[in-house]
Amino acid sequence: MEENTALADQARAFASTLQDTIRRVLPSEAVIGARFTPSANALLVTPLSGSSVAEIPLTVGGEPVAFWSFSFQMTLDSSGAFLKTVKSAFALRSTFEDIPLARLEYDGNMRTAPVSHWQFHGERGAFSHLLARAHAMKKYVTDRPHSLSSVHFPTGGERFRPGMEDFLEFLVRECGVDRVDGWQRAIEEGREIWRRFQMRTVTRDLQAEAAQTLRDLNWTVTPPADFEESVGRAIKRW
Amino acid sequence: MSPVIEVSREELLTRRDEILGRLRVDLSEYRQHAREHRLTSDEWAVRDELDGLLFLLGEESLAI
Repeated sequence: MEENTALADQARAFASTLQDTIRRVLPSEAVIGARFTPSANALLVTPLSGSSVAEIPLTVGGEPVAFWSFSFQMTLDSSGAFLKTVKSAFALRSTFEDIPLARLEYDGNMRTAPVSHWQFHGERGAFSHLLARAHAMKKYVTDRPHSLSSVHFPTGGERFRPGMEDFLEFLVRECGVDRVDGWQRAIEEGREIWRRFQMRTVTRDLQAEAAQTLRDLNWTVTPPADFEESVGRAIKRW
Repeated sequence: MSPVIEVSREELLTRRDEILGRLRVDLSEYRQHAREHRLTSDEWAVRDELDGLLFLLGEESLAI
């Protein structure tokens, strides 16, 4: 029961942070919430309408033009103390159809495709030609060469992947959706929190590198007596 | 304050079956369509919700 309470408290804090950032960027009253199953130790953070998954409407000049959806699939980490994202997905779709325009996804369990990647739902003849020729000789290349969405464009792996704020800024700057005054500050504050969190994780991955960097800046850093460098797979995989 | 909702396995299974029933496919067919990058427009509309339900049920996620 205590574990459930801790899970719920962390989920509420995480969802509230996302909600605050989104409402400070978009003209939206989006509600971001979490649903969880104690038995499976699983938690899902998404926009909600009541208790159902929802999309966030996007407007240009006040007119609805698109929808944004996202989800974070989370569990408690190995220590049982902190939430960990095992999969996240951000998708943009037009009001005209349900097939997405673009998706930014992270899945730590990906086997061959990059764990963090963009996928674009479009066609490009020259790219399809390349993929079709490659697939004819190498079966691991997509067997859907006409579908650009089957190609995963890598975005920095587990540690250096974009955060939600990057997708939000993409919507505002590149897609031109309506935003509210002060949006840029909200994005920068959210991004700083995300990158500081990732920085702590990278420091644990590359302790000797972090220590040497600090020594180069005149810090005094002493490793623990039992220190042995062990570079995790997250640093090496795409 | 963001809502945090505890859901039961039965609720999740009911919702999953509602979605698949509306699409007139079973889960293995849906998985195959996702794996082969040939989801229909209607299947795309529920893809993230379905993947979330499978995650909460502790089942294998959909291919991406």
